[in-house]
Amino acid sequence: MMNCFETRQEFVSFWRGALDRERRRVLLAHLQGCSKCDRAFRTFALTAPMLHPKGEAVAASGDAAPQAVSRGMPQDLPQDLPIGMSMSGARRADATRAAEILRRASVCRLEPRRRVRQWRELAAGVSAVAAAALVAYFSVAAPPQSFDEVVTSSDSISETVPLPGTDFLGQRIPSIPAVSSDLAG
Amino acid sequence: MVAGALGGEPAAFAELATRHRARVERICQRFFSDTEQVRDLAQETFIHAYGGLKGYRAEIPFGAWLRAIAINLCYDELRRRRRRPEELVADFSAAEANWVGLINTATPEELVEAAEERREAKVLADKLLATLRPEDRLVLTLQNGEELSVSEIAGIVGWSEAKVKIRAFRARQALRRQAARLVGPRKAENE
Ligand SMILES: [Zn+2]
Repeated sequence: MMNCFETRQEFVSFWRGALDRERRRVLLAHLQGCSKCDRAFRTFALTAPMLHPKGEAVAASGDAAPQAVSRGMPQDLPQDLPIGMSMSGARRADATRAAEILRRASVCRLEPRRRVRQWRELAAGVSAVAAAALVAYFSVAAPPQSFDEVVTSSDSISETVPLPGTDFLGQRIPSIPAVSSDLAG
Repeated sequence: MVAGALGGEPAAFAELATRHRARVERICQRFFSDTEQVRDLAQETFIHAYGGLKGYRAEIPFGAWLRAIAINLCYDELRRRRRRPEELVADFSAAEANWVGLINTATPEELVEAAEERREAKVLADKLLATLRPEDRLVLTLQNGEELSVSEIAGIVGWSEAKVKIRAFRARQALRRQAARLVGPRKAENE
């Protein structure tokens, strides 16, 4: 007889058809009689196509605990990828040249992107004007905290507010609109 | 070929881009379903790579280096969108709604079988993933989609391995919480 913990430990194997007949029978009997595990299995079934696609090794299950996440994949990356260096080197002239090379190689189609950028830049410009107007208005008409509430509810402005996880690489990817404005020329 | 690109040969860089394009697009597809978005991000990946060629170190496989750039850009885009965290999936297709119905009514064995045949099972799982915070999406996508190890993820995103593990654990919990919202209580036990 399996208890609830053991039953849930077997979900991945059951999902992948890796249980022998007897364990499968015991698991199904438990699910039949335990509404909590039955619900847990249905929840599992919703996420399993993403977390446990069939065809992977059962040992790859990372559901049990954080320690189980390492898959032992080939280590083709060093611990400290020099992404910062690569990103900071993306200068305008380089970007224009890269775009030209890529276009010739038919790797990327640049025209639609250019239009999207132009619209984004226009929208950003409008937002900036609106923000300036708000600053002017609230600096006269309302206390500073009201202005804070207003700006943090605006998508365009709140992009400058630090988001969770900003320690990512210790730097930001360089401003991409600057790259694209070159492509437009 | 990488050496050629480093030496400023446009043809060599073009060849590299052609060779790696599909792989880069596949990475972007793990984060975004929109074809235009995927192409844009792939394009940006190559533009950034070209700009950063001087900083490229030959001991890193070029594909892995490109992958790291693509992942960075995808993560940046996820954060830019700033979808409200953990909002419930609202836009079900008929097939997806049908799958949710099955989840709540079929036997466990039927579910295992049905999931194999139904593309919507994967689509719905991806939609659930899309409701998570960007860092949760990032870590689950890299672990389960790209099958990267903790140390690989740590190397790419600049987190400690401990942070990757904790984030992955919490991300799975968040994903399960989202899924649980679609699962109703079992019909009366004695039914
Ligand atoms: Zn139980």
